[in-house]
Amino acid sequence: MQKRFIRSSLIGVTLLATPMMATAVAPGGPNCGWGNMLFEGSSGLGPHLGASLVNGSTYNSLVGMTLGTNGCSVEGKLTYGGQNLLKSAAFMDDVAHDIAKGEGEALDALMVLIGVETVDRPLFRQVAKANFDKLFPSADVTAEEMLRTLGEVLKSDETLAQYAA
Amino acid sequence: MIPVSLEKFNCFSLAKLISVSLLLLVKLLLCQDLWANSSSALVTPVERSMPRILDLSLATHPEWLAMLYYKPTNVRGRPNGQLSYRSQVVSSAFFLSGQGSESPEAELAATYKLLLRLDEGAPEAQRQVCRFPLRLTWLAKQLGVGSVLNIETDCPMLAEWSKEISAHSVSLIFPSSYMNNPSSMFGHTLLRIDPHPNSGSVNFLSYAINFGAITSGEVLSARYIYKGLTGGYPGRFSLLPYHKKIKDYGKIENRDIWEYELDFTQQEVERMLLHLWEVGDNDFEYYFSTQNCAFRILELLDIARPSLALATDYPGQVIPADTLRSLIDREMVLSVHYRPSTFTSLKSEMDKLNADERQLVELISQDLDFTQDQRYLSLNLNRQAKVLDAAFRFRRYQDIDQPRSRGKATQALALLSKLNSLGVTVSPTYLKLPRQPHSGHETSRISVGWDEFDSSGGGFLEFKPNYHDLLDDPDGYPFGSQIDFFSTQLRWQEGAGIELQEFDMFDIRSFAPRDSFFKHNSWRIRLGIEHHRRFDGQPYVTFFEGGGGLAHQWRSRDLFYALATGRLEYNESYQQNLSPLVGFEFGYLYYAARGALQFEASAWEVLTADDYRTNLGLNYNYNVYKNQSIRLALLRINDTHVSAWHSRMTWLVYF
Repeated sequence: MQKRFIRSSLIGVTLLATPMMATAVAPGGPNCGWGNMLFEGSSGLGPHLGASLVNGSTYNSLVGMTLGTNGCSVEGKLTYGGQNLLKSAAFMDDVAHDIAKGEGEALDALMVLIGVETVDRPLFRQVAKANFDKLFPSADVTAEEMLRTLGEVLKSDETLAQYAA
Repeated sequence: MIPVSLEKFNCFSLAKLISVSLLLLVKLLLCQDLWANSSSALVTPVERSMPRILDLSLATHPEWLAMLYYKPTNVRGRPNGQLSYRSQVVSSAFFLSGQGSESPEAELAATYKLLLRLDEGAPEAQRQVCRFPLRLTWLAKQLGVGSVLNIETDCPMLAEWSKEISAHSVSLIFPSSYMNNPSSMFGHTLLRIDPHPNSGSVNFLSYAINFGAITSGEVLSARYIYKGLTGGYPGRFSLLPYHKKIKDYGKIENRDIWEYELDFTQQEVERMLLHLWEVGDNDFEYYFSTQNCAFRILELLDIARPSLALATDYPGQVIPADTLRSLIDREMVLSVHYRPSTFTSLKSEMDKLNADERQLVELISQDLDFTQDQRYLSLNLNRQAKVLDAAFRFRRYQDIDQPRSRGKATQALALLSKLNSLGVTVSPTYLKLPRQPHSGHETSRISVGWDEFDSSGGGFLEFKPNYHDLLDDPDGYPFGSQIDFFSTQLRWQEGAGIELQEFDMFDIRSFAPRDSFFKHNSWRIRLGIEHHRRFDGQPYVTFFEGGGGLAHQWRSRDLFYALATGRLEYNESYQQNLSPLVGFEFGYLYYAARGALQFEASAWEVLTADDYRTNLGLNYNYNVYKNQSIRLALLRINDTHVSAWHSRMTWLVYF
């Protein structure tokens, strides 16, 4: 169980660090927080004629990336654990969409991060679907609130309670 | 053993070495170490290996050169005719030796010195070793001194990093081009590192390795493009979660992603990762067409398995789709997975719906009250779910580049809640796989044939280094896109000799079909020199032209387009050297199984003179084989000054 937690925290912190530049931010700081709501806009569209010619990119450090030093401090992973995956803006949208349609890659990823064993995944999908309106009571629900609710929902299920850390 | 190594350092050999001045210092350092050690009676395996290191032949071992990105330079700098080298890594931190970036020998000597220090148990050596674990273990192995490093215990940071990535296998990722942006047609390649399949993870959570120019957030400008193409930006590897790439390519840019699982052992993948750890955040040279993403990725794969020698296929330009062919030729691809973009999957879902359902999608995406529509209520639950799912996705597709608005977000959530309440599972529609990017024709082309203008005939030759035009076989290429660079046409005629007929710096077209859901625009842009037979005087005209308009598709393999066009021409024999022209063009393309037929009409009005030009053309391209075709062109020209037929028959070879 502890191993699983560490594994999911590590991945969580890398998901968390994704869209940020190399600015050190305290855990829960503006870039590390998860106050993001459903359906935030994505920038970066447009005719990137030159952009794709040059293949320019903003940079994720090769090494710092996974050690939690790129954007969020190392303590971040201990503080927030694997919950932070939902920081990535489009991720919560995808999870909501996947729960509503009953399956999908983002939902699978969420289950991996929480550490749901393969055998319990169909049940998890079912339970999440049955509680959709509870998990997403309004479009302004934040990732943090949604995860808290998810924890409660899991706790109330006999089999899934083990995953409600 | 020691006397043997001492012999290597007698006066004679030292005198010889003085000529190689860069090496001398390093060697003397080694020599001092040796003297220091020789007082001790103990001889370690590392010390015993000294004779081998001192002959320095290891410094030009292909694997050593590859690990440090050394490339031979053309300068004959060495008195004894040896090649000289320079590394394509520009950061000095990548090297142990101060001369490392220009001397494989100096770097090898420094690495060996580190090995010696490690052997002595020097603490600072211990730290440095963890920076360059692969070089060091490679050298130790070459010298036969056995294991010198236990990563688990000696390098905890590295161990944690490797564990987190938990590399088991590697896939080559090829995002194909995106609609309305032919420059992306060259594609891009990156790698994805996957954990063991039994880990229960999903590749959504895997890591991706990307190589790109570091542009430090500089905004798009002519300077940006110029710098990018001419090596003005450094290149760097980066590691990022794969789901971020899925989002960027699949959801924002709407590029389909091809994933090729490669046949590497876990050990080979780990080797590559150790190398990446060494590479770290160091800067490389970056050139758009040669030292680009695709080339560096091939080099990485060569590190994983040196015998592949993939990079040697590309002494010149590297086009990402071509590198796929190299991997397929070497039978390195285990399986192929296709990940359609939001646009592609939405379009294919729409194609599966009937007209009523499509209309419902459009209505419901705007207003959920249309779920009270009788046509919606009469559908069974599964069809209703399909309609709601498509309506949601259509909304998101439209809104993805918009700033968030509370009203819109609430409507989108209401759609999802309604979909959820149906209680059915919506699985993705089966998608007919498009042709893979590597399966298309090769990217360079040469054409030979006969050209007849107003009943005077001549030989015709064209060379085009890349890439794809609208008449070429579209399989494996994005539909309705053309990108040609540096196309050069020559014509030979008795009496006139060989003349340049046309040179196109670039000729890019993007014809994206528009319908009620997807409101794409079409455009084209071209810059070049052409030979005009339309008037006397200086026959060459330099021009820049472009156009914008719309395209429409009736069936899956045809395309109608209409554009308003503009053109600037320069010719010294004009009354005014620079002439602006305006015009329009329209055309129809039909792609049959083995060939393409094009009808095209265009008209121009010269604004500064009483001149007009009209062209009516009919072109046919027949694909004899994948990399050979026959092309027929017939053009009727009617100008103020000239009325003529222009016809051409050519044989095209792609290579």
